Amino acid sequence: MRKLLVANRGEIACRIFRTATAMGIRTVAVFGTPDRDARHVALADEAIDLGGESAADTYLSIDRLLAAARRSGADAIHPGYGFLSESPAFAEAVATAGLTFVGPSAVAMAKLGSKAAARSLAASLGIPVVPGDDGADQTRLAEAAERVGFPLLVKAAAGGGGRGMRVVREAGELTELLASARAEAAAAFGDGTLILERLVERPRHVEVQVLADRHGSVVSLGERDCTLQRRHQKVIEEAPASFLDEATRTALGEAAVRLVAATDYAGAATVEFLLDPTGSWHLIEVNTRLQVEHPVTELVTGLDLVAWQLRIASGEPLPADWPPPAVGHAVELRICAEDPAHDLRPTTGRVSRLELPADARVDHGLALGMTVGAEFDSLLAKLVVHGRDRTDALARATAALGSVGIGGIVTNIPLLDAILRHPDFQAQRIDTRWLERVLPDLERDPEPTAEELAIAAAARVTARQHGAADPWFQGAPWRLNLVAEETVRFRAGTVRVRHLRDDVEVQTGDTIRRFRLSWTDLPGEVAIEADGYRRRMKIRNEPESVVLVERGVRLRLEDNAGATSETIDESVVRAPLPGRVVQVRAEVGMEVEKGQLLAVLDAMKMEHRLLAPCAGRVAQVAVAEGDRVVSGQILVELAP
Amino acid sequence: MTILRSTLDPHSPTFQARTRHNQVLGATLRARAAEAAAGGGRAARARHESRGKLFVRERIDRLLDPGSAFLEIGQLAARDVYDDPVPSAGLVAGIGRIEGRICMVVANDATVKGGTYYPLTVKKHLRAQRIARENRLPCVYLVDSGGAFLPAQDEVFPDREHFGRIFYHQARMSAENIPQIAVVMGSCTAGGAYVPAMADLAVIVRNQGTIFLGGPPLVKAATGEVVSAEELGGAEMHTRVSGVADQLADNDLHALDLARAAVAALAPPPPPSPAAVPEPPLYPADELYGLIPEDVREPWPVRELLARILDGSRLDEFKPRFGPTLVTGFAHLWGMPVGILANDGILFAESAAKGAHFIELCCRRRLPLLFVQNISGFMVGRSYEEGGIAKEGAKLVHAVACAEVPKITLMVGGSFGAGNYAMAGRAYDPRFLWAWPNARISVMGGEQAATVLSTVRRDAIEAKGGSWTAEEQAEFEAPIRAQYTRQGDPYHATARLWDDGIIDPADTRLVLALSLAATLAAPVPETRFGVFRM
Repeated sequence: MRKLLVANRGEIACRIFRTATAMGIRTVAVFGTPDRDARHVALADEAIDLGGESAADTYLSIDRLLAAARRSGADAIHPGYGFLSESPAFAEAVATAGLTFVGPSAVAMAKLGSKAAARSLAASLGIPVVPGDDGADQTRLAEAAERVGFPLLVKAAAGGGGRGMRVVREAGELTELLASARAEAAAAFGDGTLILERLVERPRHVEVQVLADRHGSVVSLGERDCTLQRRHQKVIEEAPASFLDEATRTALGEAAVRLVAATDYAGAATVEFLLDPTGSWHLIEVNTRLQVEHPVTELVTGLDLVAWQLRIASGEPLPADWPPPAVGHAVELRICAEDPAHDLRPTTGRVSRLELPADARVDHGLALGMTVGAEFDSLLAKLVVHGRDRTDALARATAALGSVGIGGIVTNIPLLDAILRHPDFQAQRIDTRWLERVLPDLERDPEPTAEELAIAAAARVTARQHGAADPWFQGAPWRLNLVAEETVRFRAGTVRVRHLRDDVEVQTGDTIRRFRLSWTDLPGEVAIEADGYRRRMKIRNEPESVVLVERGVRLRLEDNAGATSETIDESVVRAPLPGRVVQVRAEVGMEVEKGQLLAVLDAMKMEHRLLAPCAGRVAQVAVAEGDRVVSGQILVELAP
Repeated sequence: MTILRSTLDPHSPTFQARTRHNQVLGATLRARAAEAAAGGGRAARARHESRGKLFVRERIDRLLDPGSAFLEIGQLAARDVYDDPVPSAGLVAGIGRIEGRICMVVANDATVKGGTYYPLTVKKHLRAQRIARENRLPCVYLVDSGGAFLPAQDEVFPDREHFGRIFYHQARMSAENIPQIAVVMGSCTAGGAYVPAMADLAVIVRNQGTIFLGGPPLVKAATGEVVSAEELGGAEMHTRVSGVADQLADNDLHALDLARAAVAALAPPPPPSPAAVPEPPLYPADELYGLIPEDVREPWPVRELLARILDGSRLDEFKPRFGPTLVTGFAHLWGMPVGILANDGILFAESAAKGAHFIELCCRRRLPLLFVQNISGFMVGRSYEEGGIAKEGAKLVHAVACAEVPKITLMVGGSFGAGNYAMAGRAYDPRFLWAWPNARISVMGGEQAATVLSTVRRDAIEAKGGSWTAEEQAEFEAPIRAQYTRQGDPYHATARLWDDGIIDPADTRLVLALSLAATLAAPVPETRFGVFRM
């Protein structure tokens, strides 16, 4: 292998380039127009513009990718994960073009990658599978559903990542949810085929990393615990799954190897299992590619999985003395452009600041000044740490997360931090739906102490850039002949900060604290000195809040959302014109929906239907039918 | 370009003694400023805040961009002028950045006499508007005022520079495309009602702001109608029925955010010409304390001051060998080019002619002028009169009066007699005029005045054949000296708004930089001089 094209983007492309470069293989990146300035393009030795914007025109276009390979003279293609990584058609096309596909053959991929095929293969090998239907007859899924039983899961046969997936709790919901799942699957994978599966309640998700070479050797490199998910998207992954007993661990590994070995498979594969609270387990699916969370396995085994993928593709055999022993515990946190304060909806922005911990592995595709758009998925970076045991690894993850600073984009970092500190997570009392249940609680902030308020306020105002060039902005807000003073309004309380020559004087309630706060050379770290006692603290300034990192305290600024728009009404309905009330539908105490008819006014020979401006309860009806009213007169008042 | 080298010795006893003296002056200034900034005092403020209203200075903090400086003008206005204290004349005014834009803010302090307009309140409001108009700064009025202070109606209402002029300015500025934004955060009665009514955009706070020509008591007196303030001129009514105000705010914070949004929506000002990278002076500003003598009559080298305020302590001197008692030259202050005229002794004919020449040059180059005043006057005496010093002085005064470039004046010592005119005193419309706490301003020094008057008196007595003992003369002179001392005091001057404020010498560079920056938005017209007497 001389030259490797990576048919992918973001952190995984960067990750693959790192290994390829270290192995003396020349690297080729491909990119869509929005990614022109992306890090993966900059890192590669060569890069080719695929000339499109959407995923379909770029990273999903087999023709364009092959053309790029031809143009660059690459002799191998690594598909990464997602996009075409599990497309047998792509693997086939790459092979037909005479290039090396870093992954299994199209045939092996089809056998294991299709959920239906994998399930029947597993069943034939005596590996437990969840009751389900392989969707052989897509027109009779309703009957199949009755057979599988409720609650059940509808999934796309062609792909993963939670797309095309629906939970159906009862028969009545089936038709509608099937239709939406089919549409989503068709949009995401180009194939609307659905399969059904019995839903396991409160399950844990454990997967086994398998490597197979071209000489018939198949090994398990141990398991990963990917239970911490939200809507089937993994959030935190660990290796090993420390809650497992040794017998189950062995059984899972053995089943995974047996399944992969039953096909003519070469490369990396991940076999996913669901475990229910009683300890019984069964196969979910096989991923015929490198997983997002592969680094946790790398950290405990000391292996470079990408390097082994490339070696296997080049025909090298796996060492005879494998698997290597696993050491310690690894944790991966997925840092995503998602807003935890608004139900984790995707966010966009421009990277204005990028600080990454030096003592943790961070796989990322970020660059300062880069725009994070909505075109592709929201994963920004993976923070991966290794510790002696799980407790140690979690502590290190918390510390490393505190040193991550990504400016310009709202991220899920606060959520990750809150999860790491949560007793349920620490004590392994989780299942795949745990996060969805506790999310509302995690978004609630703990009460800060007055001291924390004071420190946060001082940190907020002293972090301001000193613009020496602009006389109007000299750090503290300068006031003629007066001490510079300012107010920081947190939701938890208002703080007054006075800037003295070296110190700040901070007033919370009636208490005044005086200390010196200085930002150190380390990013996000301040030194606080009061009465000769100096402490260092990590503090993160975010657009809407200040975070005292070690204490896990987040202080939100008073919400200004909508503050720049004018006050708008209100919950009263007024007469738009002078006229006569011809009908009153509202009655005191009545619950109304937004848009519900409350009264009809006859004015200027027209009937005006007056609707509820918001949902609520009718608090007062100020008019009766037949009343004459003047313009602007209140007719009905609502209470929320 | 010459770098000004300081020869001050910070270890000398003189330096140390002067430092101690000037630090006391600085401390006094800050104490008086703090007193003024407290407004109507703790109780009044507590009462104000208990209604959910923010104190005037907090309103300004919130209105400005976080971290923005606020160049306050007339901070000590009305100090010790009226029988009752009226801190800052009950009105806080100054310049700061709002959404990046340099704006003038004029805010009533309702904790001081209900925000009513004393004569000096009117004068200060007009001064703020004048600065805004000359420099084309958008105006934001935070209105919370009971209107004119009725007992002094003859000093606030009828004349040209009285209350009515506020609205005249608003109309003219609006016409000149200088945005006028009003935020009604309290009462706004009678004439005051025109502040929002004449504004381009008015925001009003619900259950708090009121606008009416006649308040409920007046309405009752006039027509017998009994009506509440809220019904008569509340926010609900004005934004829904009368249209006197445009936007309804829930509270002070919301109103200020709306005002900020209104400024953000303004058409952007013309981009300023690119400034050089600012460079700090080579010498610390604190050393100015050791430079200024205790006695205003004692001369001191003005280049030592320039070395502590100019970029890189650099001054490209113009005609250094001619008329050396007036230092002229080109320099940068915080990256902004500026022409300097600084007194370094009494004005002679040559220094005056040189100054006029230099001003002509700067006007051609559209360079702002900084006048540093420390002047006891023009040289007197027979040979000087014969040499035509009045004519040369007139040239300088003429040039100063006609210069259309921004002028900024800094009084750092004496400001006496015609020297005040020649160095852009208040009458010559400098865009800003700042004074140090050691400055003295009067038509002449108290000593000279006493001597002049007693000489005239003695001549008159002796012409009638009488005699005047030394004791009698001393008794005659003492009150004159006392009067000049009192009236020449910078606090007496600043209280009457003869300047824009007293500043701490250590803040000089920043104050001048902010002043200069505030002048840059307005285009500079071509200067046309009149007839110079040759």
